[in-house]
Amino acid sequence: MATVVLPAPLRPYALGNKDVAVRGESVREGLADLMHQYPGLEGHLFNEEGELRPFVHLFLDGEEVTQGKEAGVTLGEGSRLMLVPSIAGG
Amino acid sequence: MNKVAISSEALEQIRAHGELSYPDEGAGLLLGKTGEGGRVVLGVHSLENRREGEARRKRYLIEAAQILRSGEQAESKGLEVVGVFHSHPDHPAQPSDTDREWALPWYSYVITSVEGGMAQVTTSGRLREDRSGFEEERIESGDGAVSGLNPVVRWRQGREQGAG
Repeated sequence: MATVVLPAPLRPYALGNKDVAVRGESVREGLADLMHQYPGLEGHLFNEEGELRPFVHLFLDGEEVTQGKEAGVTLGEGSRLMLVPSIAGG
Repeated sequence: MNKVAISSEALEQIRAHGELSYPDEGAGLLLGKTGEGGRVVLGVHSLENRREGEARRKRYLIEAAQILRSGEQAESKGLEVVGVFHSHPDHPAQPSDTDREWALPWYSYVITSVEGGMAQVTTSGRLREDRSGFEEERIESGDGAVSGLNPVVRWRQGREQGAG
């Protein structure tokens, strides 16, 4: 299993957990499992079209995963997938 | 109403960064702690606005890599990122639709209006659960030196600072 590391704003939706163990062979599958465990995260991570919101960035073992390419990135045993938001407004 | 305690030094840095960044938007991260006693901001990381060109006048961007580094630095000091601050040049300290679209829950969003290069009103709020807008939160500053900077501000949702 891999571990998803949540930023502080999203931990309340995962019962306060920072680290969440997930199943899946790809980053996309790992995120799907995360949503399955904690459905309350979905509205903050994905838009109505099922796409990751633009401010959600993924770092797999320290390397950024290009948005839109999650399905093609392998999620290895023991990997750490960190969700890091960019922040914008105006 | 939620409240956020901001140290006098942190509040001065927030407002000063807005003045220094004028006429562009200035932004950064709020560092502190959140617990049963509430939320307290003990420091700030003023960061470079990564929007380009004219867009910096009405929009700000803090990239994920900047946030990752700030989070690690904060953690080394026993703190965490508890929110974001940014300025509105020549515009009220009220969140825009753009602010709402990009906001995350739980964070405190502190906004300072900067008129003609001088910091005016500073407000704070947190994103509602349904993402429909922000709930205002009261700013409490440690020594009362910023009296008059905690106005009762009625936010009018949907007010855009500019197109785009």
